[in-house]
Amino acid sequence: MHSPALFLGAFLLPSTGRHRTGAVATRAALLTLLVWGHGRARTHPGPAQSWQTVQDQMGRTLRVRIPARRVVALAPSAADTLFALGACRQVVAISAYADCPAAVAPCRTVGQPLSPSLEMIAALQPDLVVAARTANRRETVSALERMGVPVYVTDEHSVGDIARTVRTLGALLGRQKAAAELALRMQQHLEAIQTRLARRPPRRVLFVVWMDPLITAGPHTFITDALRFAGAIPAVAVGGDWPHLSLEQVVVAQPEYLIFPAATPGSAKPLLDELRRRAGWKDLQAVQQGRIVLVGESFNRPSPQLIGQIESLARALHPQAFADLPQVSAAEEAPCGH
Amino acid sequence: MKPTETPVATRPAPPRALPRLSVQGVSYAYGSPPEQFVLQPVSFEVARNQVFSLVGPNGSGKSTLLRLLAGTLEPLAGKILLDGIELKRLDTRTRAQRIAVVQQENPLLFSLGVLEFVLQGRYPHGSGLRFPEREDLKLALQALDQAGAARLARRWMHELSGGEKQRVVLARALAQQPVLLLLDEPTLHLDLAGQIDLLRRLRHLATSGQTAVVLATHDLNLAADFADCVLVLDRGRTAGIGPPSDVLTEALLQQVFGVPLRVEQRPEGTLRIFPEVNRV
Amino acid sequence: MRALTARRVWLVTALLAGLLVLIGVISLGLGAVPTPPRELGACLAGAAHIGAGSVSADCRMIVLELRLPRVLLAALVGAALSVAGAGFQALLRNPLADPYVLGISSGAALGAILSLLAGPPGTLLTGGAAFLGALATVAGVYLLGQRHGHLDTPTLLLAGVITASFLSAIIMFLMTTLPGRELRGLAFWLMGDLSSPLPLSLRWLYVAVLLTMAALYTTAADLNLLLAGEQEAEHLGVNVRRVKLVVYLCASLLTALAVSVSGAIGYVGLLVPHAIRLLFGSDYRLLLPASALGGATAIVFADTLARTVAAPTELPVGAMTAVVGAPLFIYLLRRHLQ
Repeated sequence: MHSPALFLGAFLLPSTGRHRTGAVATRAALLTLLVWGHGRARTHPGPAQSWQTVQDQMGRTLRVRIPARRVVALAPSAADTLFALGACRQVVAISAYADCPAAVAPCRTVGQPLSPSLEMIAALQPDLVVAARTANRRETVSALERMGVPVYVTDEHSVGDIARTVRTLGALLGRQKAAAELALRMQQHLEAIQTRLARRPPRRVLFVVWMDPLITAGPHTFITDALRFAGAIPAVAVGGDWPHLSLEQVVVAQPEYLIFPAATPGSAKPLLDELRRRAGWKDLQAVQQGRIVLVGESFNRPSPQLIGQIESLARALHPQAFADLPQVSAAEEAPCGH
Repeated sequence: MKPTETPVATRPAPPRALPRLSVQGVSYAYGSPPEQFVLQPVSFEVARNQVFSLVGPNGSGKSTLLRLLAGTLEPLAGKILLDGIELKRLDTRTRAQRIAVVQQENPLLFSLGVLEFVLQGRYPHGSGLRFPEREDLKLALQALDQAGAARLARRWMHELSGGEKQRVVLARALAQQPVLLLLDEPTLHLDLAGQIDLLRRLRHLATSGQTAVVLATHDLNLAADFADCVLVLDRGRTAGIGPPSDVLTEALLQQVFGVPLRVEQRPEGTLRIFPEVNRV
Repeated sequence: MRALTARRVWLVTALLAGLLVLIGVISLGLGAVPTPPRELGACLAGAAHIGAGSVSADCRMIVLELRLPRVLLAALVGAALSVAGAGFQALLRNPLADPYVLGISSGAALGAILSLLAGPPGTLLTGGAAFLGALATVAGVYLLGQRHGHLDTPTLLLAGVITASFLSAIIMFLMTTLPGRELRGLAFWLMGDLSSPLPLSLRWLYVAVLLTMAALYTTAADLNLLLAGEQEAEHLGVNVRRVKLVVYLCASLLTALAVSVSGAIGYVGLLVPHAIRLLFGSDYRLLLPASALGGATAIVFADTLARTVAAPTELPVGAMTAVVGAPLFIYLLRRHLQ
C-alpha cells in the first residue's frame, strides 16, 4: 500500500485548484451537506451492539453488529420490508427505484441497484447492507464484502420466504416485536383471502414478466407462489426461474387471464387494444374477451406489500368471492407514520 | 566526339574489376513442389562500377530475378555471391547494410517527414531504438543530395509528387550506403527529364566505384544509353546478355517482344529503338 | 530537423506523465462523496507518512481503498489497451485496427460467461476465466493465421475477424440461457466496467503489463519500417517474422490482461494512438510510450466521469468511452477516407 502512496505524495501540490464545473460543484455542495452533515450524525444510542455470525439466504456467512443501527437498503424490496418493519430511522439510505415513505422523505439514495456508488455506501459507514439476489449484482456484493461492509442478500422463492425475510431482518435490526406482528398480519391477511377463495377452482393464468421476448415466472419464484395465493395457477408448465415462452405454447394453453405488471395503475384498455392488434396475441381467448389484469409494479417485489397486491389480484380473478367486501381491506398504515 | 559526354556504346570496356555480384546458374520456380519455372538457370556478373540492366516483357522474370538478388527469395538452384560471399549466408541485417532496393510502389500508411523517411535507410547500421546520430543525419542529407532531392528535406512525404517521391526513395536507398543497388522500374512515374536525370545519377554512382547498379526497366532506350551490360529475359529464359549494342538487335528484340522493332545506330554510336508502326 | 531524438522522447513522455499524475490526483478527490482539496492533500500526505502522518477513516476508506486502486487500475488498463492498439495497427498495417479486432475480447467474454454458468461466484474467478478465454483465442487465431509457417498479415486479419464473429455468436446464444441476474453483470462487463476493482495486491498484474509493454517497445524502430510494407522492412534489415511474432504476442497479452480485469472497454485502443499521432507524429519510438500515458490519462478521466456524471449511480466506463469515442471514430474514418 505504501509505495503508490509515496509516489503520489511526492507529486502533491498544496492547493489543487478549482477544477469543478458548475454542475459538479452544485452536486458536491448538496451531497456534502447531506452526507457530511447527516451521515456523521450520532445515531440514537440504543441497546448495546454485539457481533454475531449470520447466514444469509444465499448461504453466505457474515459477521454483523446486532442490532444494526445504520442500514442501507440496496434493493427496492429490501427498502419496502425495512420500512414496513418501522425501521425508519435505522435506514440511512436506499437505492433508486425504492419507495421512500412520506414521513421520512426525502431519502438519501446510493444510486441504482445494479450500479450503486460504493463510495457513498462506505461514507455512510453502515452496520448492514441488505441486497436482493434478483436486484443486485454479485460484483457489487463482493466489492462491499472486500470493503468490510456486511451484506445480507435475500433470495425469496415463495411468499413464505418473504415472512422469513421479515423475521430475519427484524432480528438483525432489533425489531423482533414489530417483525412478529407484521408476519402475523401478513399471515392473517393471506388466510382471509384463502377463506374467501376456499371452494373456488383456481384460474389458469399467464403472468407476463416481459412481452418481447415473452418471459414468464417459473414455478419456484415468489411470483408464482403469490399467484397461487391469489387463486391462480400458471397455464403453461415450464421449468427454470424466468423461462422464455413461445407464443404458440400460450395459444395452445389458452389461459383464462393474462396478468401484466404495470408501472402506473390505470385501465387496461390501451394494452388490450394493442394486444388485439398483435399477431398471435389476438388469437388468445383472454384477449378477445378482454380478460387482462394489470397489477402494480410492486408485484415484482418480494416484500410485505405483496400481500395487498395478492388481494387485488384475487379480487380481479374471483370477483364473486369478494362481492360482499366492496372496499379494499384497510390499507396497511403508512410506514414510519410515527 | 564531344570530350565530356561519351555515349556508352562506344566507350572502351571498363577496367576489369573484381565482380561485385556473381550469379551462377540461378533458377526459380513457385510452388512446392516447384511447378513451372519462372526463371531458367541464368548466370552473369556485375562489376563494382557497372550499371547492369534487365529488360524483357511483362512476366519474363525480371522482378523475380531482382528479388533473388535482394535475398528475398532463395534460388531453387545455383548461387548468388556478393563480394564472394553467398547471399543466403548473410542475415537480414547484414544484407540490408550492403544491398538496397528501390521498388515500384511505396505505399505509406501514416504521414512521415522526408528526412525521417530517408533516415530509415540508416537503420541497418544501427541497433536498438536507432536514434539518429550526427553521422546518420549527415549521411542522410548527403543521400538526398545525391538523389537530387536536397531541397525536399523539410517536406512531408504525402505532399510530394510522384517524381519527387521517387527521388526520396532513392535517397533512402543511398543512405544505406549499399555496395549493390537494385531498382525495379524506377522510371515509371518520372517525366522525360526526370528519367534522364535519374539514370545519369545512377551512372555516376556506379562509375565512382561505390555502388554497382542493377535495374529492371521497360525502357529499352534508357537501357541502351546508360547500361554497361544488358540481360534480355524471355519467359524466364536468357535471350541474350552483353553490351547493349551487341544484344539489342532487331532479330532478338522481335523474337522476345513479339512486335516488329527497328534498331538504329546513330553516328555517335548510340542506339535508338522504336516500334515499326504500320499505318494502314 | 524533424528527426526524432531520444531527448524529444523523454520530454514528451515527461510531459504526458505529469499530465497523468495531475489528472490522477484530481480524480482522487472526485466522486459521489467529493473530497475537498485540503482534505485530499492531508489524506495523501498522511498515507505517504509526510507531516502529521495520520490518516482519517474516511480518507482510508474512500480515497485509499476505493479510489486509489480504481484510478491505478484505470491507468493500467488505458495504457495496456492503447499500446496494444498501436501495436495491432502496425502489425495489421491498418489504421482502423483496435485491440479487439482479432477476437480477444470475445474470447475473454466467453470465458467469463462459462465461469458464470459453471463456477462458484467470485469476481477473481471470472477474471481468471476471462484471461484463459482470451489466451485460448490468441493461440487459436495465431494457428489459423499461419501461412507457410509464419504469420501472414491478411490471413491473420481474416482469421481474427472470423473468430471474433464466431465467438460472438456463441456468446449470444449462451446469453439467452443465462439466468437474468448473471446477464446484468455480464452486460456491465461487456461494456467495460471498473466499479469492482481488484485489490491492489495484484502486483503481478502491474508488473506483467509493464514488462510486456517494454518487450513491445524493443521493436519500436522496426515497426516504423514495417508500416511501409513487409518487403521494404526486410530490405532495410528487419527480421520481419520475428518482429511480427513479438508484436502479436505482446499486443495480445496486453489486451488479454486488460480485458480480464475490466471487461471490453471500447474505442481507447483505436483512438488514443491516432490522437497521439496527430499531436506528436507516427514514429513508434515516441508513439508507444506516449500512447501508454495518453491512454492511461484518457481512461482515468473517463472513469472519473463515469463515477460522477450520474452520481450516485456509477456508470460503466465503457459507456463514457463509447459516447465520446463513437463520434470521434466517425470523424477519423472520414478523414482517413479523404
